[in-house]
Amino acid sequence: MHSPFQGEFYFDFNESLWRLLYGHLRSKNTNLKKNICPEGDIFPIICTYKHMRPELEVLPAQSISSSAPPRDAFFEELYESAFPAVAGFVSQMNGSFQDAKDIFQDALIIYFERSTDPQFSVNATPERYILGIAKHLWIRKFKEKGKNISLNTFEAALSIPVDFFPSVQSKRVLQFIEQAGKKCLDLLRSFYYDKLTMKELAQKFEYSSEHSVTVQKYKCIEKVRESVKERSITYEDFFE
Amino acid sequence: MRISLNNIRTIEKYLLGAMDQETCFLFEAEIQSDPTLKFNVYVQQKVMSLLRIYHRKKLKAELEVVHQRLFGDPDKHVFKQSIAQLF
Repeated sequence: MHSPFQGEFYFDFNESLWRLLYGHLRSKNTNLKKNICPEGDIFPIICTYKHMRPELEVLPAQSISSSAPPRDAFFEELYESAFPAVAGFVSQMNGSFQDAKDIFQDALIIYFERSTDPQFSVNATPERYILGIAKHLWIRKFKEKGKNISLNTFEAALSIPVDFFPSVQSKRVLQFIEQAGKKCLDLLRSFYYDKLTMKELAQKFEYSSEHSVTVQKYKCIEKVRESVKERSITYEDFFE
Repeated sequence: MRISLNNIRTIEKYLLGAMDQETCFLFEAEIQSDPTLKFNVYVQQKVMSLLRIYHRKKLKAELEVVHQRLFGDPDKHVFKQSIAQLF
């Protein structure tokens, strides 16, 4: 059988893991494509990676600023401090207010993800970082109009996460799952991204115990996994 | 827990890089020899990617709320004005 998500898997891979891995393979002068995706086959990499960098913890780390309630105020502060510069840049480029808003929000999300990821060191003020990312987003969005943008050394070193713009197919599958199992998506998101403990999860989603919410979490993964299989087969991805 | 759920837990541990080295290598050997397991790992990784997309989508919705609040707040009139004059 042809492997399912060939090209996409290559890019959906956890970004920070990917960066380090890529650096390692490149330094060994190996052929990336041949090593990682002969048939979309990237699995043996995870152990090798852990073996190479045992000091790095791949698990998402606990982080206060990533949880929901204080996040709101944090976002508002950044909105006030960083939006003016992005809006100024977009206006210089003859973009609209809506363009500025879209690009700023995406840039803020990228900054937020990286600032809460212990494997990324953001050596700049949020304002500077967000403006730099915004420039990259602009260049990506308006290829022609972005040609003349000059990036300084700091900005040139920044990048948009490789999986930031999902494929149409991924969006479709997600849309389908959102209709069928929104509660599961919210529960899993709260666990993986908001880093709620099992106790907090049980409270938030009204389960009687940590044990029952733990079981539910795995049931949710199973449910979403089955939906992905079902949808992907519908879209003939598996057998193309 | 059901066996299938335990399998999901194992795959989760694997995908999060939380297995110790020996278990991890053994598990990868198992993946290579078991096409069903391999397929399930693939799809579960896809689930993780979709969750990331979902998370970003939700963050964007949270930002939209902040945006509306900020631009509708009379106390933030100066801020709103300074942005508006750019366009």
